[in-house]
Amino acid sequence: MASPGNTKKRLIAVCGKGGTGKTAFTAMMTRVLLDSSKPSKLLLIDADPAMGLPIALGLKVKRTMGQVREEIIKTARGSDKEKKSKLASMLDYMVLEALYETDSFSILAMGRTETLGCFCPVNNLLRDAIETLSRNFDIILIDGEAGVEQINRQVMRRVDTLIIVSDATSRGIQTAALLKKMVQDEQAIQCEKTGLVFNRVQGNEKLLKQAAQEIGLEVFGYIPQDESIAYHDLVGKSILKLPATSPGLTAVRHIVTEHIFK
Amino acid sequence: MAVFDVYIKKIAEYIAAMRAGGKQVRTFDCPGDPERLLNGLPVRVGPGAGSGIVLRGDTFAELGSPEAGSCAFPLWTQNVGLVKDGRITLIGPDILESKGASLPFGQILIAAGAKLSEKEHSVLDESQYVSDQIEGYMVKSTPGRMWTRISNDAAEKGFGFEVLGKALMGIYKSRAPQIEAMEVVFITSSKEDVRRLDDIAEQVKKISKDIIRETWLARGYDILECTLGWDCGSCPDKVVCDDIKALITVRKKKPGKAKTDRKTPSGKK
Repeated sequence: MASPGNTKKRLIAVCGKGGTGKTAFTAMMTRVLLDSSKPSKLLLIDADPAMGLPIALGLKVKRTMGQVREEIIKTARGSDKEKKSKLASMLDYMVLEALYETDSFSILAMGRTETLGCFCPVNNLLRDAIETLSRNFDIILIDGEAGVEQINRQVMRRVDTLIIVSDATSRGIQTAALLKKMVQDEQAIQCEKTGLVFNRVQGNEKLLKQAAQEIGLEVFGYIPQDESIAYHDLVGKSILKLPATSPGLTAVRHIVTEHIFK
Repeated sequence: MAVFDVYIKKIAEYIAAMRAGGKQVRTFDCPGDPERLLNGLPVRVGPGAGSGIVLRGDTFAELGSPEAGSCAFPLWTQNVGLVKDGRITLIGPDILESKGASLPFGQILIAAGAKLSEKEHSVLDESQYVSDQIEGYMVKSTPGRMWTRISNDAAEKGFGFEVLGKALMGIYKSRAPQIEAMEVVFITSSKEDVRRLDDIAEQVKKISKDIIRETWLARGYDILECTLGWDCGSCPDKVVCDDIKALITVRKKKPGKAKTDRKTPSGKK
């Protein structure tokens, strides 16, 4: 059986309809990866502007890439020519400042941006910086927002595995179908493997499997409704502290070993 | 040229004041020859020897983080008598005494050579941020600030300030053969001790900026207008810089923006 510790570099992105539990799933994947007997260098990227991942992991992130972006735009607009000329060389410092590091993993929160406008060159600049930073890690796990374009635009141009999280509703499955179309037909992001994870499942796996087949997506796994996850969410306790026997965690462990690192 | 001589003397006074104030001040006297400086070091030194980033989990000690504070600048003189060749002065704890610590960091590099001139200033200024040239030593910098980490592996091999000082002097002397003598001063004692250098650092920064600008103007580039003056032909970020420059140009052309009378990179209007 493959394990996170003995595999090549992996880039994994999680997306799906809002409210399906993407962030809790990403947090549980983090726990599973950290529990691995051969831990790898793990970088988490919270690409959702709501920044739920640090909260789910019990972390307080002080600085975001959104703030770095603001600083770059402010400098580009400003009159300090010396600062402008040094901007490229300062970027690594600013990105490292935004990187929240624990002893076992690091997390980069994209955060919100205040300045309206596309500023594609700035996005390109930051994406390059993130891609450079990510070379130092073995596993990069991205918690995205509902769509995948924003991951492509601001975080990574390609990932190895895209995990679409859905709840057991037709809306969740429709969104999954739409995401699959965006990836496969419109190439919103380059990815080698796409799979579906059903979250908060309550004994209707057969119907869900059929629905997944109809939209042409492989099912990576079913995460059962788990009261311990709901409790941790409610009281603001880190998902990393879930009991090892949590049914949700067990299901995620299975997904990681059988579909991500197999 | 004696423009930095007054600051070199001020640094000597600063060290003397630290010593008089009871701070732990240590000196290491090393051979001045660049080959002897670099030979026998416990870590690799040279282009590509560094690994880019040292993550917190792999860090033995951290110097000059944004919270801890930092200060870094180079000084140079044609008066070789002002510099004790091969001397490393350390004010505060050494790296190997600081496992797990995040220390404030001051780094002053002082070079001397009768033939040193403004032409070498850019090399001296840039060389202080030797981000990828020392194994197990990460450097991230903004002008005047230096945030560094020493990896556990490097510490295990014996990476301390004597090693760092030798590596820096070796790199400097290899890059600028006009250097006849060189000293390095490191400060880790306290944030206040590092901040006491702020006034000197500010003055040095202004002089440095003028020297670099004038040197490039003499070559036909205004570096504050055109970053292409910085050897962009070999710069991997050239496309990014071009994008940013194009963006700024587009923004300036937007209706309602005041037109500015600015020169092109070539110096022509």
